[in-house]
Amino acid sequence: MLTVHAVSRRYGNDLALEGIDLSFENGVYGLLAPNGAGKTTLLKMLAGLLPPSEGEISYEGKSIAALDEKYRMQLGYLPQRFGYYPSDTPLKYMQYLAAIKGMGRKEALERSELLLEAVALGEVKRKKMKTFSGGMIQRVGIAQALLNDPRVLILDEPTGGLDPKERARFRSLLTKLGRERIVILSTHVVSDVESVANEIVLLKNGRVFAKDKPEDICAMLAGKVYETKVPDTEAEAFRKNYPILAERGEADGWQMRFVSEGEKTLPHWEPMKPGLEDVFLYVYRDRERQTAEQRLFPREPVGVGEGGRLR
Amino acid sequence: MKNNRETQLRSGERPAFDDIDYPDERDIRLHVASIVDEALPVRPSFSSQVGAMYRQLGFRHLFRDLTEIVFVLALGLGVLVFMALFVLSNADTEGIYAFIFIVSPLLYLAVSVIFFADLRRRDTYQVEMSCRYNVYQLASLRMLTFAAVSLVLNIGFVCWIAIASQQVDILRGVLLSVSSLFLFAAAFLYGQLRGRTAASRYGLVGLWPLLNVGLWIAQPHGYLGLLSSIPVYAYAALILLGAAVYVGQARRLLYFKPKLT
Ligand SMILES: Nc1ncnc2c1ncn2[C@@H]1O[C@H](COP(=O)(O)OP(=O)(O)OP(=O)(O)O)[C@@H](O)[C@H]1O
Ligand SMILES: [Mg+2]
Repeated sequence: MLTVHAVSRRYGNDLALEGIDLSFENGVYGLLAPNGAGKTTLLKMLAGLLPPSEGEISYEGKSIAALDEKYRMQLGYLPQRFGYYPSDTPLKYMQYLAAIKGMGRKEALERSELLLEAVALGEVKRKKMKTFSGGMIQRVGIAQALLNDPRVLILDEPTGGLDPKERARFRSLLTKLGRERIVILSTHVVSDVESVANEIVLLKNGRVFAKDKPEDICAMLAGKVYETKVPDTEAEAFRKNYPILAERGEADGWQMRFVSEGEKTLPHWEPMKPGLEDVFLYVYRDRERQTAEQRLFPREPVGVGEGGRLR
Repeated sequence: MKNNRETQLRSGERPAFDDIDYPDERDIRLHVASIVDEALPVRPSFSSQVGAMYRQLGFRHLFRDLTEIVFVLALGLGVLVFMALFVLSNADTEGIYAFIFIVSPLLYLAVSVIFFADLRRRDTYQVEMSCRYNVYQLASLRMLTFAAVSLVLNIGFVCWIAIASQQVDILRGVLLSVSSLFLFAAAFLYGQLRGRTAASRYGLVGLWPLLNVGLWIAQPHGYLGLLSSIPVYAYAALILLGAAVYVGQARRLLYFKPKLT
């Protein structure tokens, strides 16, 4: 078990994270939050790269700082920006990383080749990495995190740059991995974790806003999400009154997906089943920006969903 | 809606995966716990740790930038020889001793500064930091190697000067060179580990030649006299001191934790 106890992290005088308490058992955890919320900071601390300003992180009851090398032996980590030596082939780089992870030569070679096959890079394993596309580099990153068969796997935005097919493969890989490991990944792409995470962690204002199963997170908005058609003339007032999740301009007005917190509903409001993306958009909505965008681009749809979740 | 709600995960909750073999979770946990327990209390001795690291990684992985190192060393040695030729034809014996004392850390300095300056800037820093043998543990072994290589090259260089000038005492020249190297290297590594700002980490680099040349110019007799009159055993003591501090600092690198990444 990996536990985070009363952890804060400061950068100079700026408080990035504050009073974080979390615990992780085997399973897949999705860390979901907007840009700058502190996902990378939290994951770096979990990987032992960054010491917390306050509080402690422990693994199996012992502080990871004290475990040091012993903790890193159980760890696989993919940083948000995965660095590599451009003139290395993926095979050589993987063997190098395997060596500094403490693996023997033979095992290192076997596992490197196997993992590169698994991320569909078997064909190019002897080509220099400087010739690779962003998504290919990212797949090398995913493969190297699995080299030492880690018990704790920490992935910072692992799906960045992956195409839909690779994303889908990655999701099914996650499910397998989560059975006997702690897998913690950060993302802002809701669909990456919606179906595979055992639990979702939401960060807001430097604190843990919620940690729960995806369906329980969605239940926050149960009975509060609706869709309706709003005529052009009323659209402006409607946007002021209700948090909009998505909208789409049509010939006869605006199709809006929104949250109504009150009891009152209108007959032409169609109740919708809330999804994780609805919760994300609702929790992290910010009014000032919506108004600013509204003034800049009055006729453009403003929701981040861009009608994606609309009927 | 409740903040910080936590739900325990139980493996039984996900029937969809029942068709696949579960490894016995308790076994894994016991295994992990035993690994974790076993190794905690005693830190292995420095030499055994470094030896194990070398055996594990081998030359190939430790010095993946070997070409650059060799290039820098060759360049440094070239500069030294060029300077020495000038000094040999212009300076007296005391001047040659002073020259040896001032330039002896140069080779060590060149390879080390490049290595440390590059260390955190490297894209691969974060991945390498998360591995069992992290960047600073590798650095520890590298710094020992750099010192050893500089030592050998310096001794060769001084022997060549002694033979070429025919007025420099080889023993005194070597002791002068080695003590200068170790004192500088110890201070350099200390600065790297303790220095909070770039200025304090690299300040010494510029300070060393400035201080020496400054003294030489301001107090030529005092400075040169000091260098050539210190008894041999005092140099030996300085070398031991410098080497001890240096190895101590290299050992600290093994457990070094940077405050920021
Ligand atoms: N090295 C640093 N020095 C100073 N401030 C930092 C540093 N790293 C992060 N921060 C600050 O800490 C906060 C959290 O950053 P972090 O990188 O953890 O966010 P994130 O959730 O990973 O964002 P993203 O989705 O863009 O990756 C931000 O406000 C950022 O400005
Ligand atoms: Mg980030």
